[in-house]
Amino acid sequence: MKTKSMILVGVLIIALAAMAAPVMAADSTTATVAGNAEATIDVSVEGTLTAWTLTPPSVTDSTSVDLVVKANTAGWHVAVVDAMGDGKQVAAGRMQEAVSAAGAYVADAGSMDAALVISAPGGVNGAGAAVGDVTLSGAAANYIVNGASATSTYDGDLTFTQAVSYTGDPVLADNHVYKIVVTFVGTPA
Amino acid sequence: MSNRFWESHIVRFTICASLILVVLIIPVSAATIDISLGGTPPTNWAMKPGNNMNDTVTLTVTVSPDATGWTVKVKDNSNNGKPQSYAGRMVEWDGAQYVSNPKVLGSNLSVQGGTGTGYTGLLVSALDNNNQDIVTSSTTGTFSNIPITYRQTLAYTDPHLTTDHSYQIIITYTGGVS
Repeated sequence: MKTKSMILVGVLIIALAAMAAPVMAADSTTATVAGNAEATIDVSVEGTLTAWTLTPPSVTDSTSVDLVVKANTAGWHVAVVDAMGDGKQVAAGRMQEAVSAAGAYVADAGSMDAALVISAPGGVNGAGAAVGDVTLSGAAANYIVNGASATSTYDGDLTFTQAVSYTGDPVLADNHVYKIVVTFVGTPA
Repeated sequence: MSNRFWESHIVRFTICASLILVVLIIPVSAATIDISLGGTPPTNWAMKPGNNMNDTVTLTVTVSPDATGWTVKVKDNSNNGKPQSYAGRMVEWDGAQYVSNPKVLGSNLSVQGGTGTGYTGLLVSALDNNNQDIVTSSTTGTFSNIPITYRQTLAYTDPHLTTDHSYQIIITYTGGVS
């Protein structure tokens, strides 16, 4: 009986030691991270149209300039506007005489009779809905593409159409050109 | 020799071995670690398409002298009913719970521990449901203000959330000694 009791005590001590062995100190805590994607739109234009031969009664270019829009919101817009920068004097939307494509506007010079017309047909990804022909002006909300769904994108060639008059749009001397800078303004929602 | 003789020796051996085990093993388990987070947690993080970084959180670790080293790990334990399939990624939260059919960010959150005197920081490039080391050390003591950096990549395909919803994730930090 005494022997059995001693064996039991021994086993109990081993059991206690076994229980103590695997215990490893540890501590835990949690951290919450939360936020939102800011409403964002990215508008870029690839290509230029700087050597355009203007022939009466009208010319169209639909391959030189590509519009790319990326947005993470629903209901985004891209507007076109003539911001009248670099000392442009004539009515917004119309091309004005300049010394070169990259050069300054000629002061008190002539301009095209008709405003430039722009459209953005058939976006590659389809989610951006083209509005149709937009006559360029100084208006800020002259939308050329609207995005109906969140995360929609647009990637398409812009079409520029310019009416050319025999009487109102003379050939310019001294290698001068008719010029306009078009600004594309994206609004996320 | 009789059975009683062997029984007596077995008992003595067992008791002695047990005492040695107790003396050797029990002190190892007494080492302790305490971890806590400080700073300002990013709970209203305004992120943009591209790479976003937040370093406003710090970690403090206190380890008892009888340890030989320590490690802090991180994981996404899918707390508060978050679907486990989204572990490591921020999920749409309506202020009280994760929404059904939630928007989920396309990239996993990244967590990086800073390196300082006595400890080494590691980069967890993609948080998931497994414990991954962010800070390790082979010394003991108190280590305060260990920098923690969160990084989250966004694409334009990660939509802006409306109606006061946000993207949320709960990170579990676990410290252990060696």
